[in-house]
Amino acid sequence: MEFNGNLPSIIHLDINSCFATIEQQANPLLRDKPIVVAAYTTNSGCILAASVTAKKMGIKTGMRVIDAKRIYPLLITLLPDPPKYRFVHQKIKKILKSYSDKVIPKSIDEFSMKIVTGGLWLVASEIKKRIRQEVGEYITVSIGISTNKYLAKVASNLQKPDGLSEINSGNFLEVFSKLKLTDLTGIKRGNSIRLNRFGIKSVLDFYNAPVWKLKLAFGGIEGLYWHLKLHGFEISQSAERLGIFKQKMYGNSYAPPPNKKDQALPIISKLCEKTGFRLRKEKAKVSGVYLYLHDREGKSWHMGKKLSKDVFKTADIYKEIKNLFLKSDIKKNLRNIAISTFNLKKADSLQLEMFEDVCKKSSLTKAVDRINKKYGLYTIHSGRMILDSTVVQDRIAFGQS
Amino acid sequence: MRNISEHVNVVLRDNTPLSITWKNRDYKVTKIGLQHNYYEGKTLIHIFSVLSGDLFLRLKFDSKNLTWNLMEIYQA
Repeated sequence: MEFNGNLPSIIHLDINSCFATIEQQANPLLRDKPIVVAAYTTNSGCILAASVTAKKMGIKTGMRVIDAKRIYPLLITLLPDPPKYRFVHQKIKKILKSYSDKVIPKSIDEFSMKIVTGGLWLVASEIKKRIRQEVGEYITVSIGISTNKYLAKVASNLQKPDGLSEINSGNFLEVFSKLKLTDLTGIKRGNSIRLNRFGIKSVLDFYNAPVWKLKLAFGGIEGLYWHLKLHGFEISQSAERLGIFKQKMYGNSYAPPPNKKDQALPIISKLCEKTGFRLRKEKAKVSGVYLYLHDREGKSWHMGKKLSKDVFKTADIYKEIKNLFLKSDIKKNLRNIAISTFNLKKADSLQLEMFEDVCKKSSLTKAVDRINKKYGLYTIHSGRMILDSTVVQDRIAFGQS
Repeated sequence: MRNISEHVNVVLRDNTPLSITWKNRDYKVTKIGLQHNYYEGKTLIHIFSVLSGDLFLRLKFDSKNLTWNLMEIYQA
């Protein structure tokens, strides 16, 4: 198969060091300084974003605050401010929408858009300029252009910060020859080892590998998808979509601070409240629940359960997850609690039950959700959640990429 | 960053803060870093992140009560 010879039509936009840059935009005194946004400002807090200056010093996303402070003791650590980041996201989305009606937010800091009229390089340059003028002069973005979403994302990573790169049929060999396998999105150590076993040691080897070999390496249809992606073709929606929902599960996690380490059930209740709310917002119901617990001594426990009926109500999700929790041998001294729901289905029809009025339950849940949407999440909540509203804070999930 | 959460008086021009009076002292706004908004329930909240010389101030305007609060300050 040859590389896709069509003109590039996909733009991928990535906000550089998103949370940190937005904080530096808001507070000009922080600009050009090593700052990080971390889940907690305490030593064990996980860094969510490091400023460009901090990155140059070797401070990376995912590091603990204490490790970053070993590199630079005067590091400024900030807590995340989700409304601020959502606001910037919406403003950038509005700018992109003025160029195309096919704009897909991939996460809080990434967008993908399709433009079929050509002139992508000009459009991209204009977008960068408009972001500086209309959102903030300190906010920079890296833009990638290509024939499919995947290579557009790879292109956006070629030059950071403030980059603009293109991968097309004319330059793909040159670009691929300069990349390592692990520079590709979706190929980290595990996949790299997997490919090495089949003699694929470079991106060019990966590009030239036959489909049968990739199918063997990835254990099935994924191999074909990789072949198509690297050749600049979009995986068709029907192939990409494995179920009704592209999203396979909904869940939330929380790392309790030391003073809340023994309050597992109220925290689980709150996580169920958040997950249930998100689930119903997407008009979904589930028939599987999962619980993961990790304590401060390094011990972890997890269990999932397929349910005999579909659930959508917070109380039902909580009941099932509580049953899992009771089976766990870790109940106190917790460092991390994660819940998720799986086996998603569209909630367009309800299975009636013999002893329970499911329609009444659905109407009540909808009414509560409407009130919470209008007056703020947890305005009406379960009595068992006897914790203040800051216990499980507003967080922005890392989106798909 | 120092959390404050105190009521302040703000003079506006074209819907943006021009000066802030806090503890009987006026602070002239020299730069607006970012203006963003969000809803607390059904109340629209406006946040202004501004500079007054080498002092950073984070202002919160409650569009329901029409009140201004100084939320945070930071000095480099």
